[in-house]
Amino acid sequence: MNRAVILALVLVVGGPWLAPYDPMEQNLLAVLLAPTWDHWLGTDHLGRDVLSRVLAGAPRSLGLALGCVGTAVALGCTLGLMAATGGRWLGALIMRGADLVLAFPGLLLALLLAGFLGGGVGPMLFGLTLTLWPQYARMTQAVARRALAEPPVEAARLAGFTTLAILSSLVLPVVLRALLPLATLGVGQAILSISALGFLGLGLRPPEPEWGAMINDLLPVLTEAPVQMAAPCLAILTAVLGLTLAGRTLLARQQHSL
Amino acid sequence: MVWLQLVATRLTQAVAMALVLATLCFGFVQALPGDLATRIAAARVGEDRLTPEIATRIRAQAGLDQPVLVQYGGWLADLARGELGRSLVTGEPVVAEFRYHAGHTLVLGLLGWALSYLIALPIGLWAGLRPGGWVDRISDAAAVLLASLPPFLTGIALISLFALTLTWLPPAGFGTWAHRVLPALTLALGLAAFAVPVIRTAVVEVRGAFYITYAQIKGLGETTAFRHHGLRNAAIPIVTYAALQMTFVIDGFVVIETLFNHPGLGAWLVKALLARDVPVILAASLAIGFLFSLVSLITDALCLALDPRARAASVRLGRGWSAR
Amino acid sequence: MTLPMFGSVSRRAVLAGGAAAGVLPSLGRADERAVLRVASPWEWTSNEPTDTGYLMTRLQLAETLVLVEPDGRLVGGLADAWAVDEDRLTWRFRLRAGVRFHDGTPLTAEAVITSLTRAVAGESLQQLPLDQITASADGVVIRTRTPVGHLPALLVDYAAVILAPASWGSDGKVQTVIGTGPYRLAGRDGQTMLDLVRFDGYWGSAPSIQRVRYTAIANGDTRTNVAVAGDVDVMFTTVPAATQRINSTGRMRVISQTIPRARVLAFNAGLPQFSDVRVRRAIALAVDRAGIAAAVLRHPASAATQLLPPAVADWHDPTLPPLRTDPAAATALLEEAGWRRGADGIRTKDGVRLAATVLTIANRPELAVMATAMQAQLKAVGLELAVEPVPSAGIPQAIQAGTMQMTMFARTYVNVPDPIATIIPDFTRQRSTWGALNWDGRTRMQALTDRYTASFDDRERADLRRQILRLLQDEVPVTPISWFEHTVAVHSRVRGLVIDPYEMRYMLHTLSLV
Repeated sequence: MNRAVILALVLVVGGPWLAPYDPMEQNLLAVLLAPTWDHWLGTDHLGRDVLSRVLAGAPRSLGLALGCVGTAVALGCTLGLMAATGGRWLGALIMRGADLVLAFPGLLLALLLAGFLGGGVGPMLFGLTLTLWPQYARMTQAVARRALAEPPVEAARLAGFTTLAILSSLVLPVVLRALLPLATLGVGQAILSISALGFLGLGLRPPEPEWGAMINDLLPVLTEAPVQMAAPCLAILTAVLGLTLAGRTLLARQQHSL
Repeated sequence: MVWLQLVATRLTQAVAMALVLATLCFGFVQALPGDLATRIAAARVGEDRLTPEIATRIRAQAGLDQPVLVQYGGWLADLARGELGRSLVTGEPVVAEFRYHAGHTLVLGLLGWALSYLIALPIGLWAGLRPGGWVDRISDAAAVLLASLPPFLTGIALISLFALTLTWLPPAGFGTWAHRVLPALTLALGLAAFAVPVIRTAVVEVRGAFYITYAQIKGLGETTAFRHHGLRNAAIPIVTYAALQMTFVIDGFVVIETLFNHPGLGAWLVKALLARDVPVILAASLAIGFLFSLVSLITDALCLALDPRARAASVRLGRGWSAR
Repeated sequence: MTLPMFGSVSRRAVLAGGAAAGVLPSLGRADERAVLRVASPWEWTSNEPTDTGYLMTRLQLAETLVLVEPDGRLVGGLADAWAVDEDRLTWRFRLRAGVRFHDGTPLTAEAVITSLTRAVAGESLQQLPLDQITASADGVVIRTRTPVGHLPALLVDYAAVILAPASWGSDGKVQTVIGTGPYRLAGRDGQTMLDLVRFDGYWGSAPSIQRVRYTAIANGDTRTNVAVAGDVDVMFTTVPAATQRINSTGRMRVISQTIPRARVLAFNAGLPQFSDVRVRRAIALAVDRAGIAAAVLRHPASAATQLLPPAVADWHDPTLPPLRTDPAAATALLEEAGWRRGADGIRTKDGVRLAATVLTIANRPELAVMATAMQAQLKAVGLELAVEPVPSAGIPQAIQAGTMQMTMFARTYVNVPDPIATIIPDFTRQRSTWGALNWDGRTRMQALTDRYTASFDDRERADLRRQILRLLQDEVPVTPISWFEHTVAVHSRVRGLVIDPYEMRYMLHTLSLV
């Protein structure tokens, strides 16, 4: 599991660095080349090296997904803790807000934002974060409530610790441990959402080598460039699969320890 | 009594939810950058004929030059009279358009959803009754793999195989049952990938529960014991999950309806969003908010029917059983 | 109050959806084979000719007074003859005898006047300085305030289709489309599926195919799939990149024809980067049109050599020096204009970077790909390009907001058969939506187009056309990149396909099935 996460991080950070060519550099005289020693995965419809693009796509697809989930966890965690410790009204307000967002189909919401704000990294991050935070807020609120009722918290409160101190030292670790599997699975789902937006032509702007957009670009030439088409598909599959398996392992370990 | 109370509370919640959602959408569409009238004009006359003059005419016709609050008030007043207005692009009544598109989506959605349980139930049950067996292991691997694929890839793969290579089924379109098979299957596979593990886990947990052991002590065979006592209990989490999936179905439609050229709600809403067709966006968000609440009402009702113990609890809490 | 309504809506929706298959006229198995299946990306958005008129003329449901043949000749449509008086302002159109609308009523001068008046009000014929339209003994008389030599061409505009008086409802909107074409609208399922049936009372020769089913497929990938599967008989506007894929199955064959539509790169000539004609010329020289046409469009012949392709013989000047690619000459021009390379390879002058964001239209995906290809080519001569696909309304918005720097779009120059009708709004205004922006040559262009409009002499008009084309080529208010290939996939069972480069008609009447 740990190895999978480390490998993912290496790819996100080092992917572009590992790329043998500039992922944006075109050669219109060498389009749709079959794989050779020079181009292990061939070239795309603009003569760009597919291997380089798949590698450079890692920080865009995987990294952006990590960023979205990270922001969503931070936001969800904060709001969830506020809901758990704040007053009745605040709690109700936050939770109804979460329900509201969950009611709206997530992909549509992201589409709305990403599509209309220009499809850059910022709008995408904003849109996906907005759709993802409620589940973490709900989970945080539930776990935090349980943790707050436990004896150590009671003891700390009697000993005169502030709410903030109790939250950060006693509650937050429990919450984060509970959120980790969910978040790991969430990154996988975020990759799928980003690729779906890319496929619909509403994702990152060209020539960004995002995996979903690469699939969309190569689809018309599927029969001529099967390897080039398979590469980003497999990249998505491996990334999401790895994250799903990692999430499941974490979940199983947690249930085991309970 | 219990039923009445449940339905009344939930329906009130549903209406409130729908109104808040539509109001948010209204604000959101107004806040988006870009001129509404130009967008609408582009959708109507096409980009080649788009001129600022046409946009100005549409702005005046549709009342988009009025203050935002006046527009919102007008919409609320229309709504109170049961009037949803006309699409700014097609000029057709929104209700008629909604009915048309919702019909297509509902048929396809129910078909895909039912198909997913036709696939997931037997596999999940088998896997849950024989955990660690070959069915369990293969289905688990398949489910994880499927869940890791973007739905559009599943769709493309199915089209490539059944429509382009074997030519058994049409690759896109609507109107006949043959046209519905591939999109429904795409939807079903995506849903089943998540449903199989849920069913399996529910079955495994119930099998380990004390009443099954008790029944076995009573002398019933394992399968009989499960059938008599376990099935109903295993059904509760499955029903809750199945109903929740209905909202994910709407998501899946955005991609599936585009890929299969299916005139459903997802395609309709995306088109309306791109054209900034305000009356359509508002009506669609009303409907989605209401649908979501309705689905959770049905879930609660089903769970209530399945588990008599929850009836007392739901009355005490004054809200749905499954709402936590 | 909304509650019960919504409940009943969704219930009825289920019923409606369930019955959807039964909505269309049911066809037997054998009949189904005789139906011509036609597809294109265009949806039937509304019943208004100003909005959806192009589908009405393409599917040959409704017709205009004047028609254009695929070779560019103007021929009689609902008018079989016309002439202009000595005053050059009064045009007399004689209506064709024996024409009937699909509802059986005869074509009258009143119907023509109603339809044309509405088309002018709908701004499609705004270039027509219309004084009045009146009925005459055998047709209509159109009077203009100033002479317009190309008036018959303007009447080919799809918004000027003639509909029967019964088409309009009491609210003044078109309720049902009742035209005069060889096919009539028999049924419609939403905005995507239309059923057409041959109109037996048609004035011209009857088409051989009796029933046509039209499907709009907006998504390009879906269109490709349908064409690869051979699930359609004729598909207009296939995805150019998918040509080989469609051909390789052997079920359908893609035919392409160059049409008078160009993909052009337009500048905001008011910006310091692009106000100097030498910079614009340098950009025109740096772009590798042949490479882009071959790699992106996969059709080398579509690389543009001037604004319009040879298909419009009148507006293509073979003597004009063609657009060419010469990065060395481009570099020399930029140096001459005083733009010097900085440390990052991008040129600057007086603190201004030679950089721009080019807006492309998101629903024409090839534009972004072409712009991306140009990005690399322009970088080589020292110009930095950022590509931003926006919805089609985004470009007029950027122009109005004053933020437009460069745009790339596809423009048809034959909304009516004479490109002058498009050149006037595109190149004589300070701010045109799909053309020159802040171009200092617009007054010279206006002088030429004014003379052209007022001229009724063929020799003079031909000379003016050459001057207009030369001005565009020299001053580069926009630079054409490629011409459009109209790609049509045809099933092996279809015979007699004719492609109309003016895209006015799909020429369904010439088709037959084997």
